[in-house]
Amino acid sequence: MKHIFHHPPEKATGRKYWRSIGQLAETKEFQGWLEREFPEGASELKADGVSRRSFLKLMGASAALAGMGLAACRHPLNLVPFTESSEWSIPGKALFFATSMPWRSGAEPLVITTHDGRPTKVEGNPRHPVSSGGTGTFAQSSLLDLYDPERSRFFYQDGEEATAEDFEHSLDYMIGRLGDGSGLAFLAEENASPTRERLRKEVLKRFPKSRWAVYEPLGNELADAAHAAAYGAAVTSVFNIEAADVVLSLDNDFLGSDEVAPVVARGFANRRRVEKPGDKMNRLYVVENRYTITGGMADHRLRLPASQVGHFVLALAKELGVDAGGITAEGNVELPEGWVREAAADLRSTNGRCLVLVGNRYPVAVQQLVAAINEKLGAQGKTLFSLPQTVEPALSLSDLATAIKEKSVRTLVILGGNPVYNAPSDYNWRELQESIPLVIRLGLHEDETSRVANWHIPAAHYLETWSDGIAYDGSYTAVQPIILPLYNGWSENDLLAKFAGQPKPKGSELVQETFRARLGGADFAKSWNQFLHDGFLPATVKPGALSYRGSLPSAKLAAPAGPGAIEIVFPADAKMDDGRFNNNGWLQEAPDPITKTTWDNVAWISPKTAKELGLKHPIHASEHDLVEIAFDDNRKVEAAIFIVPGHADNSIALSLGWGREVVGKVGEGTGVNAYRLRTSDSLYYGVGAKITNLRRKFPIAHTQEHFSMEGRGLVREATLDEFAENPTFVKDNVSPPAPPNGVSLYPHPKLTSPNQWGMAIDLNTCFGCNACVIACQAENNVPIVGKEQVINGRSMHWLRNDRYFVSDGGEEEDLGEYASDPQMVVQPMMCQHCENAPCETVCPVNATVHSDDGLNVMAYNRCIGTRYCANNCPFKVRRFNFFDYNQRPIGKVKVPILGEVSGLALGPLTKKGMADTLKMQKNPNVTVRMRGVMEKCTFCVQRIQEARIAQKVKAGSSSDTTIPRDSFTSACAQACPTDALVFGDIADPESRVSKLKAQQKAYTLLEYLNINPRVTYLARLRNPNPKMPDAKRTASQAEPAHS
Amino acid sequence: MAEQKRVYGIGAEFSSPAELMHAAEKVRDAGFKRWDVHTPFPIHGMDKAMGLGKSWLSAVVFIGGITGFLTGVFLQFIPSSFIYPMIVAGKPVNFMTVPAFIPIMFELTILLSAFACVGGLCVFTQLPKWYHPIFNWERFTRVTDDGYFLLIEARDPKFSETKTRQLLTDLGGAHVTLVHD
Amino acid sequence: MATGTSTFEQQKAEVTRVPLVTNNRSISWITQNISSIVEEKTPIWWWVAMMFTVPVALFGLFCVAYQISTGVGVWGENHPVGWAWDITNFVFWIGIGHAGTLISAILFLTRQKWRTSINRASEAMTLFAVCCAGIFPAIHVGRVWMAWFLAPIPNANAIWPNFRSPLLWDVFAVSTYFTVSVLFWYVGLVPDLATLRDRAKSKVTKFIYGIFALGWRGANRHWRHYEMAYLILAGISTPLVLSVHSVVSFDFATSVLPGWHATIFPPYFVAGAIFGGFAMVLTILLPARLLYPQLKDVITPQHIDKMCKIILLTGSIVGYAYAMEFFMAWYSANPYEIWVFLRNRVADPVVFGPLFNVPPAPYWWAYWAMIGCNVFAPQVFWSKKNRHNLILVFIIVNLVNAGMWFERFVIIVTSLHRDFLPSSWGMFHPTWAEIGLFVGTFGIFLTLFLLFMRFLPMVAMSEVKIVLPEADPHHHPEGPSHDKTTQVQH
Repeated sequence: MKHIFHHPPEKATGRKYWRSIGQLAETKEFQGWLEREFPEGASELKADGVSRRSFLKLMGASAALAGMGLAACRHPLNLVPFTESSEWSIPGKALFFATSMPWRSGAEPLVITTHDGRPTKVEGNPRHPVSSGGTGTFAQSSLLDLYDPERSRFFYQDGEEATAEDFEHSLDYMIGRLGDGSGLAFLAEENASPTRERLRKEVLKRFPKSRWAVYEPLGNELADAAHAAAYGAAVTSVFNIEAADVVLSLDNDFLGSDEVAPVVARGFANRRRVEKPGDKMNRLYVVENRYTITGGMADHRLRLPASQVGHFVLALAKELGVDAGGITAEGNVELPEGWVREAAADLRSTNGRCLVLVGNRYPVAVQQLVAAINEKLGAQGKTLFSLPQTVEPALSLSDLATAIKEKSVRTLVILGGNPVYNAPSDYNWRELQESIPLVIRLGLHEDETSRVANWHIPAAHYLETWSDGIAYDGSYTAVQPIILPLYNGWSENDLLAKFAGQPKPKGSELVQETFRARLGGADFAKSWNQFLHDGFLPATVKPGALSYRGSLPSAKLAAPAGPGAIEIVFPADAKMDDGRFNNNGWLQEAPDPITKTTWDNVAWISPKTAKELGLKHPIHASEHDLVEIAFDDNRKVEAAIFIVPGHADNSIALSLGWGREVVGKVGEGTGVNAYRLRTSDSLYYGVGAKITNLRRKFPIAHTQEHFSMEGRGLVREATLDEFAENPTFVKDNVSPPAPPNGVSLYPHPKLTSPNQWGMAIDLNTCFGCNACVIACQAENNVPIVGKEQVINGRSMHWLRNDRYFVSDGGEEEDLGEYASDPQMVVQPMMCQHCENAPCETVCPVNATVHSDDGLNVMAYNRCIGTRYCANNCPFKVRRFNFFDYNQRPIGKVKVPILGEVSGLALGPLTKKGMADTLKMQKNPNVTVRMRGVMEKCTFCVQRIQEARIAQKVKAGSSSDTTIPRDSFTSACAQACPTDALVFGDIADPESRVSKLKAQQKAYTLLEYLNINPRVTYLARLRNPNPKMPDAKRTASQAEPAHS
Repeated sequence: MAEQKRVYGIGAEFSSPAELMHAAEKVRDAGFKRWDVHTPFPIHGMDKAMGLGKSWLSAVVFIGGITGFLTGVFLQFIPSSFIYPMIVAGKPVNFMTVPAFIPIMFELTILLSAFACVGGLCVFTQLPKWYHPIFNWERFTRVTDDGYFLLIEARDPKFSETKTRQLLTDLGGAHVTLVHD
Repeated sequence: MATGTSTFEQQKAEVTRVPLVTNNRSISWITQNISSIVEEKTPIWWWVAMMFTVPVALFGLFCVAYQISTGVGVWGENHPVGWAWDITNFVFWIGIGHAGTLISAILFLTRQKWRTSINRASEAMTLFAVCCAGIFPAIHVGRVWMAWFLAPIPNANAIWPNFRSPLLWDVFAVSTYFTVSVLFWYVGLVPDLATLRDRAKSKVTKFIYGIFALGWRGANRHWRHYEMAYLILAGISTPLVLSVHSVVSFDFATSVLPGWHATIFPPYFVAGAIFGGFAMVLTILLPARLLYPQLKDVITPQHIDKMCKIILLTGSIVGYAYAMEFFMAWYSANPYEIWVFLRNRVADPVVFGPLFNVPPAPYWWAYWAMIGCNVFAPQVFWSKKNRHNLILVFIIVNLVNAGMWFERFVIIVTSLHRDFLPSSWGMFHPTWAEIGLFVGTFGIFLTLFLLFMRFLPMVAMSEVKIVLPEADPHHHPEGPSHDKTTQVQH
């Protein structure tokens, strides 16, 4: 069937959605392409570089698959022209495709930017209520995993390389002998994909006795149990945080690593947008052992060891008159006088418009009690809702472990996940897995688990596969391939289909089948196209109220941590999650939101506890004290400590996901593996660890050495009431004062463009989640530099999140004294595009000048690298390429005489160039910078130019070259899940950014330099409860402009 | 020796700057024009004694300086204000921006003055000139040590081999010698 | 002319007291003994010295090659410390490069006859110091091969240099300074080259010196232009030498950075340059005096005494500048300025930290090393006894050399490492590559100076001769000594 090339009408943004998968996917050519070319062509992608021959085939296949997101997968080295024009693909123009990222807490709806068939950027799906255009850090970074040159490429049989054919044959043979499947077991990750669920049922139909277990090291196992007990297994619950006036988070980092659905962050933020005095905002109480970005947003924060949170819940239940049933607690915990009382009163006063959240790995009893409390508060139907359960209950890992011990599992199929690395240490999973006759492992990487599997099958990245998912709001989302599998990987659906007795799917058949079933009668082709175009079907089921059938168990909470009994908490890592992102350079180098550490995890510890243990935080250095954390002789690790103000005493937090043994070069030797300490009965924390000061040091790379703002009016804070009384507090006592308006020896030269770009950043809705940092890195081809370079202070991020601890105590960290319980503020910092930019005047070669639309622009090929501009930049946002970060090996390399040395420092002696797949990720519209040039935030000038060109094309001969209002935005602003960053035209008073800049709490930094930044900050506000014992402190700590 | 060579002039050596000066005055009064004294170091008053005026090198340097200054002005204003008027740190591109240009105007003034000075010196003294007849006079090497010489050229209209020789001898010149080309 | 005569009277008074050349040396003695340094057989110590300096110089050049081929990252610089040893060393050397021209030009204009015995060596020192200084701004850039963008020539970028940038002023100032210094030095050298030419034994040396002597024959019709040229060069070099270090100080003064942004910088830097320059002159000449005893009669205790006085004066000016900077930071009530001076520099663990009740500054040691060497050490020169104790003088001037390096380090690094936003604060740690390069420049400097001693007259003979009594046309050997004073300096 011939396709006549019709160019679709172009939107102002230049954004296009792909339309007609159906027409194409059903055609003969399409099937033909796949059968003929796909496996053969793809199988030649083994070698790092794609051979030209196989590439041409893929090209052909891609051409045919154009519009299905497979437009011309381009070899980075040999540029090959399209042999035939493929639908809607204009070289140099981006195409956009809707898909979604599978995640344990629900699929995240995305839109993928592709250039010539290469996915180059991940964005949130603006049409989907869960995303509304925002994304989380992980979604942004998942793109790099797709191109990870160290991703699994080959089939392995008992460590020997094999081919897909070998595998299929032996698989068919093996399946034929499974009988009723009594020896067959599957171990999968949490994923609500209806297609997977359907295949699972079909497999079960074929093998009735087969087992299906699900394991997520950070999963909702306990939460589900508690939920089932409280509300029944038939439903799952979602909360609408936007409806809550008061939120009490019991160690639930719902703004951070515990919940990636952007809708939650956005919902919370929407209640904190204060435009004018008198506006209301919600109130957040947080009880947690360590600082999380959620805790950073708290109006009242109580630092409490995780093992005492249960006791806190009991106290709260008592206060609210909730019958704790048989739940009692060992030991008693001193809570600050009045804290629980007033918090409870505050919750009660909202009559239901409130929410109590608890960490999903707390003991079931505690979580049930919290459910009871929510019930008592009347949150059901107001902030808490139910959705029908879409996934059948599955066995837990412990059930599976028992079965394996009983030798009743002879064939284990592991779909993703990495149990050998992250199963609770008391299972000795490695031995268990070795004891199974046949283990088939589908994995993205050859990792710890593949090493003890008979078959390792390279998994396809979610950007390479057909699947589907259920989003947070219960809507049905599409997962469609944006590019052919780079490394010939299989999806779990492919594998399950084989077990279900079907041929390995050629394309979207499986998903279409599921879709058809959900669709009912409607016109299939049409709605399927719509589905793929939008990336989702709107949620059909409306969330209903939960019916609480409270029956609290009788349980005794273990004795909490205290002096002499130190607890170890295993939080999800803000960057590695459970370890799956360990080989992801972007995430490795993204600073932790709180400690700002990179390339390692550290043992967080409070100043007091550190002092008791004789541990010191390094001053002006990167060498941190090493300690041994031991529960017993087998359960022990050596970790570097990091003193974190605001951390609970007698509590150490060591995040999971680090210290991988079998991992690529990037993740190699990063961090320590906290899973070693973690057992099935201490999934979240364990009390009674022995801490030994090893009197050794370990270098930790962090991007921000200093904790305190030193009283400089950078982040300006007030309470809601203070703002109401004094709406212009941000302008008060600014020191040194700003020059009187208009004072200048000469007028500023005229900026002639109709659009003038600027940005407003609302510090009240920015949590510092890093999504913008990664988005910027992906959009602007920002290189990673490696641990050693970060230690040298050479990280290249154009956009960083400055984190300050604010306290009224006279602590002096230069002397090693840290605030024990400060508040935390975050400030995104990028080039401020000063109208009188100090960097420009000092550049001897005019490499950085001002554009007529008010940008401070960099001409990379003009820059000779004097670094004078960086020295003269008051914000220190300019980044210099000290080495050839894109061309030379990051990290250590082996050389004859010297041994292990930094590859960068060897320079010309090392091999030049980057992995081909990594080249494919680069944004073709942004120069990849060489060594010796300065770079910095450009306000995504490539996007500005794209929009400007589109407008000029539209304008034609007319003079209307003004780019339409808010028709595009910068990468950081687009990624921001809470719209804390707003980019736009400040020449247009109606644009969003102009409106924000007009607010009374808007201010710019370092006014006294008279540099007129184009970036405006909106002051941070807190909403303390005046009755709370720490209300005073909150108020007094609020940092006015001057202090 | 150079008997058949053309005579360049007659030179005499004197024992001290004082005597040389005295001799110079006499030669000057005798109305000679093409003659010169040679000393290891400049002797104050000798210009007067020889009836020489002020050196006009300063004028040359002045012209050089002006040239340098104007070079500075045009080199900076033409690109920065007319060809590529770029917005740099919100600074003006018109004449208001002159303070930033002063250092380079100054440096160029100095540089071209220096070139003019050395260039002018070479022109006025007609140096470098690696061959000169006077170098044929063996004793003359002492001129860079502690010899004080006076030489009257044959080209001088008043020159007469015998009279001039007599004059120099009378003035107390030693080693009065005929210097050949 | 009134001033002329008045200075003339001073000369009179002074010169009658102590002769500039001791032991009544004759003109030919001067010629003989200065030239002999060049003519005699190369002494052993010279070879030994070269055996040390040449390898060091070569290592320095290796470090340059390594840095250019690999990237600026081989140095310890980072964000926020974008400049460190590179610019520190640049300012250090360019500062040293000021004494020579200063002695030649300013002392010449002010009729300081005593300059004649030291100006040649110090001018040579200037040139070599500027050579060393020139290395750093050239290679500190990230892309040396693109450094020609600095030149105001049309290019593919259709962009011209930014004439508002102090760095570009630097390019013009330093290159002008070097060129003019070379001319000034060479013009002064011509008569002495002629001397060497006329004394040369071998044809080859005669030829080579002859080429450079330009055929100089001491004719008075030449001397009169020569003297005028010399006077003019001195005249234009004087504002030049003052401008160069002012421009260098603009690199910092025109920025917005607390600790750099100070109007006091130009005079303060010039004083510092003279200060460090004279220290380096003495550092070089004192050993030279030991190695060549005949120099003792030319470079007399009187010269050393005068230079010590100048070091004392300029050192005190510099000390005043330090104090004034600190005062202005306090007086401005600008918390950023105060932080830089108090918390980044002054606050030491013992005295000032406790006094101002702040923790020690990360670089307090550098600051106090600077104060100790530059402000306190030279104070010993108040006593004439100390000024004539050559060992002590040698120690002090070397302390001053170190102090002046620390001054630049303090200004650059301690201002950069903790500026406006605490989030971007950091520390600087030097690497072997930049240390090696710095040491290497000393190798280059000394090698060049050793070559100079070996092949060129270290003292301006023709000028020294002028200050001898017998050079005076009205001098009568038996005449009374006061006649001597009627000689007038050109």
